[in-house]
Amino acid sequence: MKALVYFETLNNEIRDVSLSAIEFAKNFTNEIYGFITNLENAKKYVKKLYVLETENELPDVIAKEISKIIENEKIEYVFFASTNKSKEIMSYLAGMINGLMIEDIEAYENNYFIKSIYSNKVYAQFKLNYEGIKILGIKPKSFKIPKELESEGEVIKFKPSKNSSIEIIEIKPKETKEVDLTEADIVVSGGRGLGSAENYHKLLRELIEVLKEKTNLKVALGASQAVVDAGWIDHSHQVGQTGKTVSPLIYFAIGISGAIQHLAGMRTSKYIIAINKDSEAPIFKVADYGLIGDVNVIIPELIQKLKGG
Amino acid sequence: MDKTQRKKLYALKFSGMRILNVFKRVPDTYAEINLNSDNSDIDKENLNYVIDPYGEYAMETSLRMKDNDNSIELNVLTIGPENSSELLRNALALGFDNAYLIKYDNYAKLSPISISKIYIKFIEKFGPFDIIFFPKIDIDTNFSSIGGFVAGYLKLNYIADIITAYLDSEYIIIEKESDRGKEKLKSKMPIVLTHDKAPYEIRLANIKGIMMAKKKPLNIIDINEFEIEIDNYLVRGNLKLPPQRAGVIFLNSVDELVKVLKEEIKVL
Repeated sequence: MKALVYFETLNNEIRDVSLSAIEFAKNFTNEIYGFITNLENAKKYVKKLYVLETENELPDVIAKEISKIIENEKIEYVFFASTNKSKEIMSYLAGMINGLMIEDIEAYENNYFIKSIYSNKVYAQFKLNYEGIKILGIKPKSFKIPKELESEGEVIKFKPSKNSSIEIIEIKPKETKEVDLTEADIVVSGGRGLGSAENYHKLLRELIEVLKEKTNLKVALGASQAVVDAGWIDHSHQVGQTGKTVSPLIYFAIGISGAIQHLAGMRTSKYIIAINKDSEAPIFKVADYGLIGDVNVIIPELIQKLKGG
Repeated sequence: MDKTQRKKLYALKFSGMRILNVFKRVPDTYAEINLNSDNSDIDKENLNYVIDPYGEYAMETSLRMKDNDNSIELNVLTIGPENSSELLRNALALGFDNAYLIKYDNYAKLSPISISKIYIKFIEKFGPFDIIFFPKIDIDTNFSSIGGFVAGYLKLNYIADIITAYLDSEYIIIEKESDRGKEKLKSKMPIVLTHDKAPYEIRLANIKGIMMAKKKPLNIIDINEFEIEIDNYLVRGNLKLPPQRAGVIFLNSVDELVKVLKEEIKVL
């Protein structure tokens, strides 16, 4: 039985969550091949690596090339990271080849897949009875990153057989190379309690910098729905039901009251630290550690003490 | 406005395009979800059902297209029990022209292949459509593959997670915010799009719209008419609520917080 892993890249690196898809794939087979665009370094993890040389990664082009590999190699399982970009490609692929796609898988226990439903308010077990191609996506931070293989895999480079029917007018890259929320070890999230967009950016970005320096971990900036709606920051930073779901080691909820939609997006974090002036705020119901007070006083003090220590 | 722009706008006034918006009937996002006594399903007592939030944003994007070109025909579709028609009636009050309900009570347990194939059947029967919108994720099943599956199966152009789209003569311009940045894309139609949160507010129905909606067609289709085989490719087993958190420990100072980071969580 053969499996293919789709490696997603961001800023010319393989995303960790794509690598951890290999670890999950090992539950099904050891005959694991890879597909990637442009980069060759994934050959350290798979027996055979297909490298598509392309400038853009639109879903119709990528799905078409993956479908050809599936046919030629008689692949039965395709694994991917449950990020927006990978899901866009895999869902199109599923339609092309009549594949069964399950995304956001968090665990595999006794032949059951575990994933959340109702926007992370409930977990469900799923049993798969499908003879066709299975397309399985893992949730970021659910599986570990595998060791490199003893010998590098064979590399097959090729070019797309067709152009996309979509035209890219422009991509404005993000100003800073930010860690994606879903892959961060620490998420520093702010809400209306910070008072203004200026405070939000100044205090949280400074806290992120000092945390990065002192912990050597990946730290990302999060936001409540209220501050995204107020235009303090764009939607890609929103945590919660209409934003992203995160499970970092530490989640800082700073000036966030904790509406149910927000809690749905972060309550599986390992440690939740909430700072809020209202001791009755619902965020304290899910927090592990709480600090009551004005965030505009507490955060500068925290930054100072972290710098000093 | 220069001559070419005006010409384009003039052309748009008579596009006669057909748009389909698919939404999902879901529990209100404010709702706490509990389980029934044998953990086989959620407790549906006292739940208020709404149009899913991403489907709602997609509907707003369609309505904005119709604001600029009244010749566009807006169609809205959902699958669910008979009382889903209240939500469809609301879509008609907002400005949609035709509403369709595929009646099926157990809709939240369908496999992604089954639900996609039901929509495909619908599109084959009631299409063609120039633009087909889906929510970027169905927030009840958490499946985010439906729009892509439909597009891949029907070999239509496809872009996921858009934040807005607008027409420019025979093209559609699409904007999205991805991990790579802000993207602007251009495509011919027909196209399937899945909608993320939009950067604008959603309109509410007014009295005139509500009155007009009463006269608009709301078609109820029995799923058996589609001769679809409901598969068991993916069977949902027992449900579980997320683990209870241990409870909060209130700290008295920033020093205590630094101590927790050092000694309990051990990241410093």
